[in-house]
Amino acid sequence: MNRIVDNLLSSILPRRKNEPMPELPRREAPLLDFELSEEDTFFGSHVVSYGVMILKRFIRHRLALIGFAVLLIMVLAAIFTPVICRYSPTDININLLVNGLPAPPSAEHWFGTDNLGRDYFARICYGMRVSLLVGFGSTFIAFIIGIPIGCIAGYYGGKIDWIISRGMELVGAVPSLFLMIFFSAITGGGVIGTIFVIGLTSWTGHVRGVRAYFFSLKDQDFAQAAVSLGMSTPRIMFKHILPFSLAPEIVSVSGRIASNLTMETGMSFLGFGVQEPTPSWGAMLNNAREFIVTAPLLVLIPAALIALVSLSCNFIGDGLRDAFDPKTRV
Amino acid sequence: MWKYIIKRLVVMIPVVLIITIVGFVSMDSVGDPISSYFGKGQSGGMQGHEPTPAEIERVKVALGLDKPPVVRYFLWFKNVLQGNLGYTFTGRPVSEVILERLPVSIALGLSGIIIGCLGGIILGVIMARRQYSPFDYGIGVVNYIIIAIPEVCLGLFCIVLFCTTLHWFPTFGLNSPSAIPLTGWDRFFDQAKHLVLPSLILALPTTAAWSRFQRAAYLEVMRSDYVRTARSKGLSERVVAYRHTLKNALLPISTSSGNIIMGIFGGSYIIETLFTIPGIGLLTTNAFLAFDFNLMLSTSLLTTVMGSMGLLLSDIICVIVDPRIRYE
Repeated sequence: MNRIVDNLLSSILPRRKNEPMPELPRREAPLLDFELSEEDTFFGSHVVSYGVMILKRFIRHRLALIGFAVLLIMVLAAIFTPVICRYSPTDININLLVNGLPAPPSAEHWFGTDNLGRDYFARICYGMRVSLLVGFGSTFIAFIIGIPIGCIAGYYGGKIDWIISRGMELVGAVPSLFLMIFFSAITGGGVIGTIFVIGLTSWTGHVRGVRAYFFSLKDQDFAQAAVSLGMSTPRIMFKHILPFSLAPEIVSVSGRIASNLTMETGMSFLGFGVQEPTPSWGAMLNNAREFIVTAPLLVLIPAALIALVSLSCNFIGDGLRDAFDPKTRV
Repeated sequence: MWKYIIKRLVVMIPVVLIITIVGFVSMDSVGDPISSYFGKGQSGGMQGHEPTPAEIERVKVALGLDKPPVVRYFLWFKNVLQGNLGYTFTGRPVSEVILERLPVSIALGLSGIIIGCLGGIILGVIMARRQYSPFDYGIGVVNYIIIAIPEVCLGLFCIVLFCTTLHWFPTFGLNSPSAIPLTGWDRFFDQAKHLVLPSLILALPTTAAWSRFQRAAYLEVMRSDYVRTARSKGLSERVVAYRHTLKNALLPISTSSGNIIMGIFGGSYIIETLFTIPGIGLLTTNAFLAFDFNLMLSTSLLTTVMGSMGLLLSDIICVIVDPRIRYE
């Protein structure tokens, strides 16, 4: 129990490299701070692959594991929503209302109904589907746009880099939520539209990270050797230099999912993004706001779920960061 | 120094130009101001009325929609330079609407910045001075949660807790509904009471982020040689803590002030919508929801200028506070 609390605290508090860690004992080999089992031995010597090492370090991070479990359950629930829910999220049934107000939770309708008599549990589940899809989808789009642009800016430098940097400054001069409202109003929203709007406005972080790595790596011996061997430029960029700069970007993905989900919530809450009757957590918050006095559960359930997903993603991000960073002790 | 500021201001011009051009062209190509004037016009307008061709033509001329987009952009820009931002669909001058809303947003944003920064600095220093104490751990956990949870959720939790359950604060709006409009100090206190919770919620993420930074910066400075020198000279702990350590621990924080200025304006969309406070954020979202052309362009312009100014301001603050930073 104590170790869990220690893990909890040390994972939450900002940690600096030079800071002494009085609670945790120092060990000799920081890279292998987990127990080696019989399977890890190969002809008598210990062999652990990089992937297995990362995995073991990640598993030791309890909070990250809890976050991962929560997210996994949600993703599974989102995939199997039609099996779980007995009702349709869009079926309006005014007869269920109590005195014209949303019905309270009952055995039949677990989370009650909303103001139009739609089953709230079904709406939460289908909304989770939409919200997670937007969160994952937009992060994926940002990743596949940002990484190549960062490679190009960092590898070529000079004028190309100047243009890309000025472009990013241009985007950086406007609050991102405003940018999303703007494009969402123009494209008209919808689930696919929202995924693209968020993805297309949030790739600059990837560019910054990859570009910085490329600047320091492209003049190193191995990159020069690849050039002198006559390899094609894309091969040098993506096969030789990119793998070194990819780890921090992959680590940042779970935090980005959380922030993109937050953006979707904010956008849909303001009335942009995903539109009624398609349920999404943000749009549901917007709709339920009117009933905050009479039926606070309608607001509290989606808000708590958004907070839960966001926290889980942040825990996973911390776990990944610590697992990938050989200097930290998990 | 002045040269630097002027240079930065000149660089801002193409940014504003490009963003307004992109805004103008994209809104022009997608939006249909005529149908939104007749269909979705908020109030005023002509709701649910089927327009005749003559009426459409009249509105087109009145809104200046009969000319090609390029001409209209330059006309719009010329008018903006002369201080004329055009008219909203409800027929009011845009500049009048914005000037009416601006003080509300500035009051909210400024109180948010001040509470957030002061709170963050004070908490961070206390955390650093009592490193590894229960206070340090406790605030650390709370900070983590506040940063992770979206602002919308935070705001809604606070409303349910403080407004509808405990009844400490009014739920929405800027003025209490009353038969006789309040005047003078009564009105001021009434509005201040309505702004307390929104500005606190606006300040919370800033407080959390800044106390984190401040804690780290303070701990770093505490380990430096000159602090040890100051202690060995026999200075009192008070002087060491506030004269020597705090002053230098504030440096790294000034770098992030620009993001915070921008964040306050960006975040206020959600806060103003949550509490229905008639500020620029609510104006912007409503303009985009109703596709009110002139209002959309003007708020985009305002947001861009504010954002660029925020970045510039943070750079200037850095240069003033830290003489080691050189400006080109």
